[in-house]
Amino acid sequence: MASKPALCGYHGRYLHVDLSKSVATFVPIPESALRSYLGGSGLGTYLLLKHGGATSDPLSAASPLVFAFSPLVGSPLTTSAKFAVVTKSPLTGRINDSLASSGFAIRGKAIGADAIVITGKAAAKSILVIDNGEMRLEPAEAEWGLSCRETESSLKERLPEGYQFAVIGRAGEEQIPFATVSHDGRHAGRGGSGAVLGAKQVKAIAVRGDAVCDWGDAKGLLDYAKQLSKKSFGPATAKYRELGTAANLLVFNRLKTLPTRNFQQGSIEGAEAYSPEMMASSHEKTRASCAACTIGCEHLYSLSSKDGSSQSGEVKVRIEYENLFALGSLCGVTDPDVVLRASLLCDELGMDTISAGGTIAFAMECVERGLLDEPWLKFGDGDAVTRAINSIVGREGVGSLLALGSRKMAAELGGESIDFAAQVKGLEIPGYEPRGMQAMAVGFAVGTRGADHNRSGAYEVDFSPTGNRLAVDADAIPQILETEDKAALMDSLILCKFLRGVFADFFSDSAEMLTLTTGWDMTATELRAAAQRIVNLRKYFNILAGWQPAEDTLPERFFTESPADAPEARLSREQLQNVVDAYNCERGWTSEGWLPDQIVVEIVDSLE
Amino acid sequence: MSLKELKLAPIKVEFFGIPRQRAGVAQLEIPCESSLSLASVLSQLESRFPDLAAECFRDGMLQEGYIASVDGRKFVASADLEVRSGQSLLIMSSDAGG
Repeated sequence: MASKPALCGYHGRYLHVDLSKSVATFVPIPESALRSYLGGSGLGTYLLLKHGGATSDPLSAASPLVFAFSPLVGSPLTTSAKFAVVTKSPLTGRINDSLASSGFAIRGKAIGADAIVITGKAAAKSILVIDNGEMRLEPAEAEWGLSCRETESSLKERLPEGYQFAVIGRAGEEQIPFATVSHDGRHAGRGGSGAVLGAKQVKAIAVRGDAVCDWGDAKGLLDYAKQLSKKSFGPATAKYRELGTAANLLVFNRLKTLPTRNFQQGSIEGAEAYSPEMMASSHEKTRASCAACTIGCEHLYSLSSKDGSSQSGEVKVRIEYENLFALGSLCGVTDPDVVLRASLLCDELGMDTISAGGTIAFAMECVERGLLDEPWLKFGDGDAVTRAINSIVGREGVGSLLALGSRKMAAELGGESIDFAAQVKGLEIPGYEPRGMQAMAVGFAVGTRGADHNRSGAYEVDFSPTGNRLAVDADAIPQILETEDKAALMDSLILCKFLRGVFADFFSDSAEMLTLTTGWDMTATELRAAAQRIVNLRKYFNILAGWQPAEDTLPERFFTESPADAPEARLSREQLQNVVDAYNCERGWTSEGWLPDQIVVEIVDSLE
Repeated sequence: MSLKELKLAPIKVEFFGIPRQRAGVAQLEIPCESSLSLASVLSQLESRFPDLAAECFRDGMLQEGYIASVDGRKFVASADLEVRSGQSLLIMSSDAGG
């Protein structure tokens, strides 16, 4: 096996696991590639391309799946215990770089690799066990069919101590195209990477190792980490510590940007009932945090209310804004107990809440319009939400349609249904009403994953004095680009986006962090270039995978209707297209969004 | 509503997220004959809600990380922003990450 080169922050190699041959090999990563693509999303996309991921069927044996770590993993920097799961999405057919957190990142990197690339297919249902670079496949019969939580519990009991696990639930086993990869209750959620793992007959990956990296400046890094931790307790993170992302619910409801009833409305009556402020008084609540995190953004609520009026049990459910939106207002529901039950169900099954809720809400509107004969599937019916989620995994009845995701479901139903399937490139739109947050609309349209509020932070523009959320134009483009580049850098370093408010100048601060970890003389300029390079790389992947300019838009509904309660929220196709064209040019691409030859040559050279 | 009644309609201040947690109320009304500047409104809030001011204000204005909106349309941070009688002033975190 390849020995480790002398690097700081990195091992300088990845572990290639070939499931078909049951072989694992360390493969060197050129230092130039590490410096160009850093880690996480950037490194993962690079490795996926090197293994032919852009042109393979995502659910085929040949399709690669990458777990990518980063130079910051294992460091004392707060929020650094993160990993990327990078695949070609079975839902969109485009790049899917999703992130998750905590111990799996630290233990995964400790196997002695900066990434794990998995190709092939196991001969039987398996647990992939990796121990310091040595792999074995153990039978997964005992775990197959278990929930994500039960799977980790089972593996903790039967494997020796010291492993961390990334698992799939029944959604991944059934290759539902929006199945997640889960670790310790957190999910690499969007785009269906769980289905890719399920197609490889891998129920879980267990990692353990004792390899460590040197740091460029260990004392300097520790001093910096202490300062960063101190800042992480300050006002910039108060929202996440005290209320979590769920704090968005009432703000968005007031602004009429809370997508409701499949984006027919921008607000829902009764939103207060399931706000975090109200739920904290009606349900037991605890906070948790990922490994190596000082923010503690996770807010878990008991499944039963304090008055014991609903189901009993000590189960605690992680609630984020996206759960409240997708399984709540989007489906016309404001009952907190329904949202908690539905969220838990998605967590246990290993299913993306946004795509699940988005597809169910789409189906509800199809029923309303007489396009689907399932009278029980009604907006506002909490039992319908949970019944629909359960039907997806078994592909029972309408579940066989829901399991396709909203875009393919619309293709099956035909007619005008595609006009109100709220997705971009097949990825269901998250809880930011595009007509009322028009910079975010641009971010959704051009996003390489599809409609995505994590790879683009363009809502920052909508929420700023320099933006106009109801009238986006080309003036907003530099800021929109900036949020995308920052996201690309954060997702490759990898650091949690909830930390972004503590940095005065994120590119300069990142250069300092990277210099301390790697010993390289990094600059803000170099990192700006790296961020743009990573965005270009993801675009290159999509072009190889068949991307066409017509994908960079929104469904028809968003141009022909305003939300019923927000008539001022109007977006025209021409308006959006003008801004998208200008965005492409600002990126150095053609106005249609193709990469110029010079950029393609640079990318191809980097992949040699 | 008559013109005279309109002119006497209070400004409704609405708090969301951390500002609501610190103020301890979701909303309140501030008397206003014609209009008030954002700075004037914040000054009144500062004296009524010291915890809110300690967390969310600095030098008489909203501190970084917080933002205001009149009637939920545009977001603003200028001290001179005019809030007219009968309008709503929303105060919230500028971080909409979800």
